Amino acid sequence: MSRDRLVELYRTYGGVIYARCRRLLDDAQAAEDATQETFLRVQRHIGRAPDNAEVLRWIYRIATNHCLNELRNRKHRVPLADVDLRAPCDSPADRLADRQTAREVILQVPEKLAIVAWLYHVDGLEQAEIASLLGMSRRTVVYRLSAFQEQARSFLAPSRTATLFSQSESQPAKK
Amino acid sequence: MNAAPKSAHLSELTLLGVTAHSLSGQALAEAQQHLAACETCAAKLRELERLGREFSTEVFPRTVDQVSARASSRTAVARWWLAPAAGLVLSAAAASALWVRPGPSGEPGAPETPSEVRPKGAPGFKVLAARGQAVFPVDDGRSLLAPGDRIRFVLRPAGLPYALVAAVDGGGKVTVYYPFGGRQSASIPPERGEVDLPGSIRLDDAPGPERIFLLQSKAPLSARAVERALAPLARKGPAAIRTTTRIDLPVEAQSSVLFNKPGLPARSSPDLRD
Repeated sequence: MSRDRLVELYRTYGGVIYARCRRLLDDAQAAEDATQETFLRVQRHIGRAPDNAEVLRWIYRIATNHCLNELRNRKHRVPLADVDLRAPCDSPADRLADRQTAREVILQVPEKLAIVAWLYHVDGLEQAEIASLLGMSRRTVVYRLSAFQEQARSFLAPSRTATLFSQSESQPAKK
Repeated sequence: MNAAPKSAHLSELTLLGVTAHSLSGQALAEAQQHLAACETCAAKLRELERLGREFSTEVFPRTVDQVSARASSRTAVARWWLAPAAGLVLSAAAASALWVRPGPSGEPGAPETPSEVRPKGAPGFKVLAARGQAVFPVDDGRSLLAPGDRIRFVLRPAGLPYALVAAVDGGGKVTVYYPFGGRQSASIPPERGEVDLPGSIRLDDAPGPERIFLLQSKAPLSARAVERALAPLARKGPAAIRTTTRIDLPVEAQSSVLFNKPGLPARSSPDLRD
């Protein structure tokens, strides 16, 4: 791949990757590093993507996996006991609190549950969208979300059970 | 399955699609309609667009040369067969036709049992070789490769987030193959199954045998530390390279494969192709 082509791709998709990594890592330098790593991986596979929309989904998935991996490896994480849990509402501040709780709980669970839980609870993707993005069945997505909730409950005291799960809990999963 | 309740807001993926101009048709129309009515999502979109501008005006100018250089170093590994005069040709390594499993947690340097199929989900790696248009797996200790052959590595992360590939050859040279030019182990995406490491190595005419080590760990390993750990083995020569399958390093899993070069005694070369 020519340098000009590479620069063009970095210019075209770098901003999206950077924004994604900044949102995930909450650190400008870490996001820069993660962007480079993600982009170098994307560069290898960019020719396989059929169209612009698929490229973005591909980048999104790679960036998410990479950043979650980085978050797991970080030494300093907010203890769960210090995370303030609030009822969700439309206020950005309250939404951040819920998102923060979700982030911390998600980083405690195994990777295969974490990516699904992150996409659902933090990024707000629908189950079918997650299934399509990760190349798995929707049944698997539902199963992993249920498994995540089971594990997450062990991290949160009953009095602080996240209303984060209230929507999911009100909808029984199909057999 | 019961349908999950539709979110009241646009997902981040959708918002990124708006910023990247990758949405079209109904998806775009629905997104725009929602953004016109939802300040929360509109604010989030503005934030994503601000970060995109920050990248364009600050990050991109500062990092584009670095990214280009890093990408070039990786593609140069794959293109050495086109430009051997570049001086970047490295000796190649043999690999097993089967997944090479991590060795037993015994004494470093202890002979390893023959390579075997690793249970699904465990860490390990394999090497593929290319000669002309032919591509074939390399069998640990058995394959005979020739100058000009190209090899690449495929590994199974199995939950270990960092990997480094290094080799020691019969000429006493130690080289870190992956990440090439890197100072420490590379981060590996936590994907299921196999991960195809970028780039390939072109065989030079360095004497064999040569052994490649895959080092998988929970924390990044210093390339310099790996080179120091392999240096004694390199100095010991071909006999030690043939029998030493592990090195003393703080890693969670390590595997190695051995291959032979033309003109040296080979046990067999069932997969040589002309």
